[in-house]
Amino acid sequence: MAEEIQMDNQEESNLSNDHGTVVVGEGVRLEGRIDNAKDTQISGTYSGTVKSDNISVTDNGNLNGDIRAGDATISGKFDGDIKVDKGLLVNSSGKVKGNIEYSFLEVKFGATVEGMIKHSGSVSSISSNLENSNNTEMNSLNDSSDEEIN
Amino acid sequence: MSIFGSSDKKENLSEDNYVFPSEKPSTSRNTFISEDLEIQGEVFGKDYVELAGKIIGKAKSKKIDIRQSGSILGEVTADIVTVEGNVEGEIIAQDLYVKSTSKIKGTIKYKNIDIQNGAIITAELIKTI
Repeated sequence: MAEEIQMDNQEESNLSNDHGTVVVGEGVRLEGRIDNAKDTQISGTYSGTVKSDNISVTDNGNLNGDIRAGDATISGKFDGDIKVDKGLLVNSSGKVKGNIEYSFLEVKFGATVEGMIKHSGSVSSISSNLENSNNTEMNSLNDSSDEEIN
Repeated sequence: MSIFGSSDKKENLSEDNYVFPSEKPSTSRNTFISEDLEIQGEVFGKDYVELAGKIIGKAKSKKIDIRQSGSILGEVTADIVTVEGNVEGEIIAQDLYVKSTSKIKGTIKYKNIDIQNGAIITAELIKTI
């Protein structure tokens, strides 16, 4: 089901109804702040923040700034912080650098993703499960590995 | 049908066709750590390590698959790493495949990465050259 959400959000997004739609065309440079948008497509170079239900940075697109979106598809370059309530898809041509917060994340082989990525839901620690199954003799080893991780 | 008549064929079968499990090339350099096994320490494989159990410590090989029941608390290093289970710590891989069932927490160093939808990752991603 999550896959369907992301598929809706690819570059094919329906832009025919231009209510709430922002397109930064190829070759265009724009600086600013986009708020309250429904669909945003960056094919040129944009610096600033974006708040949009859907955002797509296409192959030649370049976005510097922060994104807050429902769904996002990155096929171009993105540098900044991104928070998606639903799905983030990074295609193989995509280059993402920054902090990512997501519920669903898909990264295609060949893509670059650098930075801190964080799942928005609760992430249960597996170390507690492992600790439970440990006998007391091995606690010292376990403690030291915990320290390394933290 | 007679025992004596078939003795030649029996010999042929045992010498030419029968391969001892230890001589099978496909499995000789492979390591399987089963679901009910827990290893505390370091695991160094030469070729392929398939992990359905737990490793607390380090695992290093050419290729490591961490099955859905498998988990590593510590460090995983391999050319090709496939994660279906849990990893807490550090993953260092040339090619890293993160499947939808996986949970990863810690640091990921990769050259190529593929993440399937559904994976739960809270980590720092570093692309190495």
